[in-house]
Amino acid sequence: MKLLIFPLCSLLLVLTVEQGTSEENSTEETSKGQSLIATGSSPEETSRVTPLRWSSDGDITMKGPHDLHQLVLTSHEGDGKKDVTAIAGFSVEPSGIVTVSPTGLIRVIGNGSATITAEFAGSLLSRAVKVNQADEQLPISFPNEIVPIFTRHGCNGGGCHGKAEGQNGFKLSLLGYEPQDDHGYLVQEGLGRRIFRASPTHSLILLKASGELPHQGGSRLARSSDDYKTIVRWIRQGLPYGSDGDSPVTRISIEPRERLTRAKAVQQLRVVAHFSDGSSKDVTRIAQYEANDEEMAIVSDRGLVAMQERTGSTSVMIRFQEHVGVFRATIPLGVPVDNLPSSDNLVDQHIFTKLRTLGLPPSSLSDDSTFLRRATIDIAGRLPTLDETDKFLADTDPEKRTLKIDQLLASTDYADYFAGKWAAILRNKRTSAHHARGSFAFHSWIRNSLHHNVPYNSFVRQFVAASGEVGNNPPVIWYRTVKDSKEQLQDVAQIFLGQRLQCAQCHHHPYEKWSQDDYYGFEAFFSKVGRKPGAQPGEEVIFNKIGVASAKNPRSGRALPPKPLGGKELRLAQHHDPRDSLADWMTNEDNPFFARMLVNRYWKHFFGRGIVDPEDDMRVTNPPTHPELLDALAQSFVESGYDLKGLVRTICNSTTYQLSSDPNEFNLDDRQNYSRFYPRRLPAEILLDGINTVTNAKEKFSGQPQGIRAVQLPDDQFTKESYFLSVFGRPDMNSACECERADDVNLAQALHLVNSTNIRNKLASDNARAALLVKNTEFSDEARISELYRRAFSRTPGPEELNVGIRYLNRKRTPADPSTLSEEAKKKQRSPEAIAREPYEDLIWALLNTKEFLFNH
Amino acid sequence: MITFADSSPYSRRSFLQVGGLGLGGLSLSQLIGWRASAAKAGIPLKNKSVVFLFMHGGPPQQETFDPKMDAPAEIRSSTGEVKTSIPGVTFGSTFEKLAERANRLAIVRSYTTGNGNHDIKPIVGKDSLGANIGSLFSRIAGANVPTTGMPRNVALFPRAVDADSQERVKQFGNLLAHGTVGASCAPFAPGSAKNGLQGDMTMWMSRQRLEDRMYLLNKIDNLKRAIDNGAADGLGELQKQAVNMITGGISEAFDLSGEDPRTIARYDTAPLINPNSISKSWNNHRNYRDHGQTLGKLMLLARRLCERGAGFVTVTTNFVWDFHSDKNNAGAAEGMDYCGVPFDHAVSAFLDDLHERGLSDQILLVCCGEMGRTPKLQNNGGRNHWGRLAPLMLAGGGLRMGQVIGESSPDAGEPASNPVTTENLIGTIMHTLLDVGQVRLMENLPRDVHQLVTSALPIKGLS
Repeated sequence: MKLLIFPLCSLLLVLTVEQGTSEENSTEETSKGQSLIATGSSPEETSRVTPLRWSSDGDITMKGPHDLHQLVLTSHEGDGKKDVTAIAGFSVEPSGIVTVSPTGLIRVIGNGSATITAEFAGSLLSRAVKVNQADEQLPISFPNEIVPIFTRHGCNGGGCHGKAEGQNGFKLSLLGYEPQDDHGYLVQEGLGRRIFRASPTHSLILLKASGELPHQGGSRLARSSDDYKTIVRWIRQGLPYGSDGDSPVTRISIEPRERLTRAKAVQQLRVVAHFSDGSSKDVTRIAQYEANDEEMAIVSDRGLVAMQERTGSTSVMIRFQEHVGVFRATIPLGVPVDNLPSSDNLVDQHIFTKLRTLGLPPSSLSDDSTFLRRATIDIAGRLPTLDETDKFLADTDPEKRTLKIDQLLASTDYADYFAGKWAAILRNKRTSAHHARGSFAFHSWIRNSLHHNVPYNSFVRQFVAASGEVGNNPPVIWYRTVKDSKEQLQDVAQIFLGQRLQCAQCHHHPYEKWSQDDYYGFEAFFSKVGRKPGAQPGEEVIFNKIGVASAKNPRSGRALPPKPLGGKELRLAQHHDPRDSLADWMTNEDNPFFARMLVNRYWKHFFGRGIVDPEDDMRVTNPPTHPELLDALAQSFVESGYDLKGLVRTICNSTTYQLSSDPNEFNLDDRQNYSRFYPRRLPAEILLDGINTVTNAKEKFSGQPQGIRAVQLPDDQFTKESYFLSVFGRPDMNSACECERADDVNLAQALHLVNSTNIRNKLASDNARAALLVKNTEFSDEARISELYRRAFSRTPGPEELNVGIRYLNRKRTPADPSTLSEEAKKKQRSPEAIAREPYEDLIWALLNTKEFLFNH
Repeated sequence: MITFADSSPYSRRSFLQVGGLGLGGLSLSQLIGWRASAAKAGIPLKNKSVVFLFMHGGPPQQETFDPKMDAPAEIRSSTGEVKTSIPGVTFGSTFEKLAERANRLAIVRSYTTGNGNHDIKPIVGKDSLGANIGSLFSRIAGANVPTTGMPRNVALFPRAVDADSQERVKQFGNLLAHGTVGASCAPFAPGSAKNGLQGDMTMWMSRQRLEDRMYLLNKIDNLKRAIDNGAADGLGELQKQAVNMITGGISEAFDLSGEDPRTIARYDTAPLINPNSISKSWNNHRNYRDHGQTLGKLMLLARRLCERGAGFVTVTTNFVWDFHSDKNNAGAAEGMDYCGVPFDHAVSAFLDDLHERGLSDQILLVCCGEMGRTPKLQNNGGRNHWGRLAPLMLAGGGLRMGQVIGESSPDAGEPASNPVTTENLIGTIMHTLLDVGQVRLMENLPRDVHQLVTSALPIKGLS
């Protein structure tokens, strides 16, 4: 047994790859590989128990002289797994069949069978490899082998030749989604000037790409690279597109798919394309890689992931043609997590498992005040009343949190708050005075559905397939705002399925699998929405037109029948309303999008971040932080009969939701593992209502009953009407995205709270809280301050806080000594009432401007 | 906590101690004064301002400052040319007034923005670290003028002077971007709603009472610090800025009614373009309307803000220079009627006004878009996107005027000499605003900002 190991050499190579700057010369790499070939590995040696594993089992079969195969070698050490691909030694026996580079890449030399043996830290592992057709030039498939090269090097990106008008006269389809077109652009367009068949390396395409001729995009392809050579071979072969017999790629797989690793560790990936005929091919070197968060991990163009210093979870996106895969890496902090209570709550099980894996200790459980304020805001859209606070804090029932959640869900406040949330994304707009009846009715329909906890599937069906007129079926109002069938399909896909299809209208969605056929097939569901004038001006009757449902793909010119996303085309009878079929498909319990989207939306509502974030962009390339949790929540939601209140119960009763927002020494930076509650600014309506309850002010909104709370407002009009609501980000309801609601803090908001006449009037009116407090002379300052704290923060003030308040009040109440004042100042002397009131106005003003008030924490 | 900049000599603790002496101990205004002198000592400001009139959409080369009348018909200016006050230099015929004032302009005919994408790259892009150039300046100079609270970095959209105009165009990039330098450095965008922002900037309570309230707020907030992380972090800083603005009394700066009506009339571009005369066949006709109605007043407001201490003012109308002659946009000749005529008038009025006020050397005006347009006119009279050459005009700022910098190729398609990039433009702007040699010595600047400001080379031949 004789092995040659070059740890230093491998290490250098890893460093080069990590930096990702130098273009590795493949011939050089091969020669290194050859020098590693050793002889004499015996089967007995490798069969003993070894901690080493390949990423996939079985013999390796390679076809043709240019086939590549990336090995991924893992060493199992205790519970952990470590990628040793780049630091193991590889030997091949017999020689002359294949070589293995130090990075584990197998290249073909000749036909035959060989055994590859890896050696790491004294352990061995072998694997058979078989090479066929090593002396034949296999025909190159343009879509499967050439187009990915353009994608990988950014040639067909949206900022370059991939944009609609191309770049400097040369156009490619965006990210290679139309390979047929690309073949034409390259081979035929420009009188064939881009290709020089007599001398392939003098083809314009290669001279430009390699930077030998000036190229605005710079030098992209080194002459020594595999990709360059592949294009040369393709030109030599006579520019084939590939035969009809070429099977399309059906999916790609990633090895490994996830890994628990360490900071500064590396992980080699292997990417395999699977074809419709059942064959597969290693595409590690032609796939495209993108790291989600470069502070956590970076990835080279050969699929080598290098973890950085930061801990947490991250992912690397791998793309090949329109197929997408994800590698997830978790880099634990490694602190012992022993403060987790046992919990049978679904949310906690998954969140706690991840926290244990990460070694990230969560914050402690929030106190009763914080819980009460948080749950009341999130469920009922308001601050707890003084009475609620006092009762809850005094209550000794160990089940009081659960009971409070039930109580809030049963109140109409829950329906008020969530109706506003849904009305915004269902775009309940009033664009003319005639629209009020409809927008009020739609809002009230949503509110009733939520209050009576209509199962979500049936709620959505009633609305998506709505027919009739507003008087008897308010959800038809949606079709009034969202007029165009393209907008309808886009909104429905985004709101209920988490799929953003807008891009697919004009081209294959760059980060998604959806094609234009998918887009127009989905549009066909809305192709028979008929309208006629309704009972009153500005109203319509929505009905299903008789006819064949179809929508035309302008690119192919084909009229497409309705087709669910990822499903089969439907043939529907002429009288059938295709929207019913759409609702059937959407609300089928096997629908992969429907329940996940909803639970993710609600998750974000309660945690400020989606498990997939943004919550309504659930494409493959935007992976969830907790996929198992998302699945489990969705499944439980389906099994509950789409019980929305039940979902809220599950979330709010979890320890995870009830954790304190105060960070411990480990989790201040945590933004996605829920090891503490993430504070967020109160939404515009809740903030306005909260200020009004604390100051005892009432808001007036046109056409609405006196004293209506902002959270109850039915449509978009009031955002325009109220500067407060617009500056704090209440949406204009122009889009199906909850992101239209601004949740940031900005200078205009600070100015408004600090200095507006609006707030001033709320503080200083004769019915205002300050005036009321002062009027009630039975109460001490302590009692008054305590009341204010309980109203604003749902807690009693600490001794130091009482002290600060009392000192301030006393100082401000001391009238200036008249003898020290000028005549003019004497005239300005305030009345005794003002002297009593103003310090309280100041105190209330200060409480309203604290972080504790402005944030849900 | 009431401190007025990162480098304030009063830490939270020390101010609490000061506050502990009683409110008579040290007043807010004294603190402000302190801070102002600290500013004079530490920040190498040249006390100049830059107004960046961003011609969003991408103006054509030939119809503006590079007519190429000797070129074939499909290349040369579709609107003809006009002689300027510089012998041998002509402009597109729309720019009659600017032509007379060419001796007060510097025209760059070799500016390239790098690509033909609709974005906002000369002002927010990779060259400016993903921030508005003004945000970087703010990071160095401080977000507000200490004595008045005037924001150093302001952005003016049509809504700032006309409530009926459309909301600013956002889909091509965020002109209010602050990159990584912090939300407090972002451009301040005034609105025009009566009960809105301007009203909130007008102090209605006594200064003493506002000081007392802020003191109390900070006392209360400090007793409950735990929320001081994540989203809440910026709030305290924003409240400080708000107080600065209120006590500085700057709301009048944003109010054009403080100007002589004759001055307003001189700037006003609304009478030049009757909104009804704009063809409704272009989807963007509302943008043309906003441009004509507001550009003059926006330039006047920019001047007013510069006089009051604003250092970098972004001015833009609603995306009008995209002369494709497609469904959305007019072609080059008609587009120049809608956009070029108000531009010619507003910029000329601005230059004359600065001249009369003796501010020409104090304020640098920069005008350009995110790209140029195709050298060749299409059959329908439109020009498409072009990344290899773009018009650029500068005026004032104490730079050398009355010249043309760089030459373009015969088709106005690319630079023929002295190519100028956005990095050079940023260099010129930073050298105008700051003593860059002194910035080099500043500590506590983010490294990338430091690097950018000290290494960007200004446009050659301007200083």
